[in-house]
Amino acid sequence: MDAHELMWTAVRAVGVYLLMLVVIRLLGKRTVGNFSAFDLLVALMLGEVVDEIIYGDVPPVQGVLAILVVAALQYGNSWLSYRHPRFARLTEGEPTPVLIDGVLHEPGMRKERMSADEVLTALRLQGIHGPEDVKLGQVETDGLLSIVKQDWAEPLQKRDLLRAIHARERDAARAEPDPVTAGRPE
Amino acid sequence: VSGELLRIALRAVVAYAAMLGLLRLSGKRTVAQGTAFDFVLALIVGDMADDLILGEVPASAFLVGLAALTTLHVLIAWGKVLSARFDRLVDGAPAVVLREGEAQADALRAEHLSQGDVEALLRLRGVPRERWSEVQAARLEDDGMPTLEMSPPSRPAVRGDLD
Repeated sequence: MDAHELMWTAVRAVGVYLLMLVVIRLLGKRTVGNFSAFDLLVALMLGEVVDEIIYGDVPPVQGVLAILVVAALQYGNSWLSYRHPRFARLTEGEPTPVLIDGVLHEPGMRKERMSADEVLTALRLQGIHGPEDVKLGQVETDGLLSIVKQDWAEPLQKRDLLRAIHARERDAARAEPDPVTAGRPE
Repeated sequence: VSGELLRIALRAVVAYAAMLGLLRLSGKRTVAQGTAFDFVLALIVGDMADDLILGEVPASAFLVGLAALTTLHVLIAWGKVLSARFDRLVDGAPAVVLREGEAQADALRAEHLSQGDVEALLRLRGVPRERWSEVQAARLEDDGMPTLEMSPPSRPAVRGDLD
């Protein structure tokens, strides 16, 4: 490959880098992978087009057009999902409960093709020892399992500790015989 | 045919070594735990490598393209370190989606997040809708990950609290 063509490779790489920087920035933080499995596919799609542009396998105009169209669709999709919850339900689906009040929920597990082992593994990965600690476990639209614990299984908060200390002080005060009345005959 | 197989193996070694070398030179933070853009850049480089390995492009084109991308990426990373304004321009700023238990409409519009999206984000951090009041601030960070700041009484009790 001659030096001239290699120089153009570098120029295309720089150009498409800057284009992608702007595109990803405009699409916002929810573009890549965090909200639904589909966002991840969009990132893969964009990435696949870019390398063809850098190598000159497609004319830059065609490659850039492909990127802009995919980006515009993604932008429109996320805007519509924001504005219309029904559209979001259609394109992203809804969370599926797989664990309700400590009991594995078979219909949800079947829908997400998730085995009991997989649910228990997901719990362990979040540091939860058993299903009995869980009030509601759902597969969210990004494919991750969200866990809401039973109230009694929630970690101790500062307010809980303060309440416990106050209660103990009150009990101690009540249990202690009143110095004035103590020892007085009935 | 075996000659071509050997060449594929050789090109795979070249691609692997080149990417390892450039990643080491450009620093660990280049693609790991980065922003959406870092992630997409990693995908692009991976796609470039497979074209090289299968012999669809010459090694020189791969190396020049990879070097151009890496150089630019490192330059921009330096710019972000040197100027907070440039950093903000390139990466944006964390979006506060919830403050004192209230969803922040402006931030939600800017990030195209519905009420349901925010509920899901907080559920993934173990906080259901009825406990939003315990949250002082929830942010969507530059890398798209949600972070929670609980209000002081709702923070975890620590050993120091016993004193």
